[in-house]
Amino acid sequence: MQSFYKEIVLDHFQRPRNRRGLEEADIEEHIHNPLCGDHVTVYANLRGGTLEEVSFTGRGCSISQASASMLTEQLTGKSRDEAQEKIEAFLEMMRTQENEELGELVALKGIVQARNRLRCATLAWEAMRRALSGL
Amino acid sequence: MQRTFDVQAVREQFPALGREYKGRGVVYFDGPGGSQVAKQAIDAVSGYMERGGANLHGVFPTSTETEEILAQTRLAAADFLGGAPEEVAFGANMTTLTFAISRALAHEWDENSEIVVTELDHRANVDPWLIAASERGATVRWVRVDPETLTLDREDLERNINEHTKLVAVGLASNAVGTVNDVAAIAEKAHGAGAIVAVDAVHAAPHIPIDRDWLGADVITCSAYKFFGPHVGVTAIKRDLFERMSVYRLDPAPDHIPEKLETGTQNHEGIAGVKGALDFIASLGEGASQREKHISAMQTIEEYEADLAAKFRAALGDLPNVKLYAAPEGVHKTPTIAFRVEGRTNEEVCIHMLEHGFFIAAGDFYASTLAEKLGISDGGGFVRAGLAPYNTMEEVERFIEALEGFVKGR
Ligand SMILES: Cc1ncc(COP(=O)(O)O)c(C=O)c1O
Repeated sequence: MQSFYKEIVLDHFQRPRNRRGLEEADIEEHIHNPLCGDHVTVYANLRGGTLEEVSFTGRGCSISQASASMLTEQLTGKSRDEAQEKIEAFLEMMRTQENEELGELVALKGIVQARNRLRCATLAWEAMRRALSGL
Repeated sequence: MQRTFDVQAVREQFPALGREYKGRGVVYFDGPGGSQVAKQAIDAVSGYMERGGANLHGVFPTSTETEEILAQTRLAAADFLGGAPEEVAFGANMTTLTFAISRALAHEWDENSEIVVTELDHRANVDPWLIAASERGATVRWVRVDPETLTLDREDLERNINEHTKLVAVGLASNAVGTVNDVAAIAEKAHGAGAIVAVDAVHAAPHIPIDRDWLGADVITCSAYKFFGPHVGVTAIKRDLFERMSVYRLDPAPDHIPEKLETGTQNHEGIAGVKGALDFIASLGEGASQREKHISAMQTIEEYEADLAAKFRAALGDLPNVKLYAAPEGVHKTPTIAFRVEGRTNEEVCIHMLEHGFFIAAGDFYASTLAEKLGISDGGGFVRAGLAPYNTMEEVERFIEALEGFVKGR
């Protein structure tokens, strides 16, 4: 199982989805974790109440970047409420235990054991949470 | 903000990164012992010899070209350290230059003189001064390193500097544990007492921007083989001091700065290579002048390496049975990471990591006073992972994973 999780995360790290900056986006939120050196900026446009063109840029470890890549896939096409729900569910899982309803995001939970890596996995999600709550 | 650092483009400039060990690409984590060499530096060394070299002061082109190369490298080194070209002298390495400078400066010392060295420094910035002091009957005062924080004890430093102090020798950064010292503040105190400040920038030079005068260094010395060039030492000495320094030299040799310090025929091809290394660094930066490019490049490198090092230290701190030696958060550090694995010898760690393709060294790295103080001299000192701008986050993660396997007995 662990090696399957690893493959998922590595795939997102090596072939990141929606990795690009978005000019004049409705949402642009940068977050940096100085403790472990990861940077992520998430972007999205809100069109007719749904999140479109969710994307990211950044640099850092495989977990932080893979997690951002997964976020873009998970949140595209969601309403603001749905997105916020998903973010909370993901953060809750990372704090507690695996939640099969979250699909491949479970891989991140599987990989992250040590606490320092937890912050890598949640970085992009915290950025999006902050952005959405500020809208 | 998020300035981009194109690590792949940087890696292409280092031919040695193509090397393999037992079928896998080598990861060089031994930069603090000597970095890999940039293509521009390699080309400059071989280019000099291919075009034809000569000694100085001839009327023929190979001789005048050699003089030109030395002049250009002096200019580049002055722009790298912050100084004027005529304040820059070359030598075999930092240690050899420091011996020459120490015995010249010691002409101004007597039994009433005192000098100050530190427990954190590499012995190359300690022993030459100790020997010179003992020859003059001068007193040596040691500044204590706090074994908990791996930083210099500032109160002890203040106590040790007084009106008899002739010299304060301090490193800009520790080659063992990466602590960057607040040299500007130390120099201010030293200058208040009328002392000369000699700064060892060997370990710092590949990692942080340097400005000799901002630091308050009267003498600042580094070595090009740590910053992507060949084995050549470089020093920049403030003009007034340099001019009055009575160096050991041959009678017919130049008696003016900077050549008076450069004994014998210099390593011309090496000096050509230093220019290549500095040009490579400048190519990573932006700005109108060479100086601006050097500063901007070093800022970019520092920022990039800081992220790798943060990841590295955080992950090591989480591994069981791994003891990390690092100054606390908030203290400026180079990406040089020292640790030990409980119950294993340093050699075992290095050999295990070698099996995974990592070139990593162990020892006290001549920061032997620090190692003694930490009680690890007999245990072989530290394992040291030193990062360079050609290292990647992926390499750091792979290292952590391999080390985790080792400490957990997998
Ligand atoms: C901090 C520091 N100072 C001095 C030296 C000695 O330099 P060199 O080999 O140029 O004499 C080293 C070399 O490792 C070093 O790391």
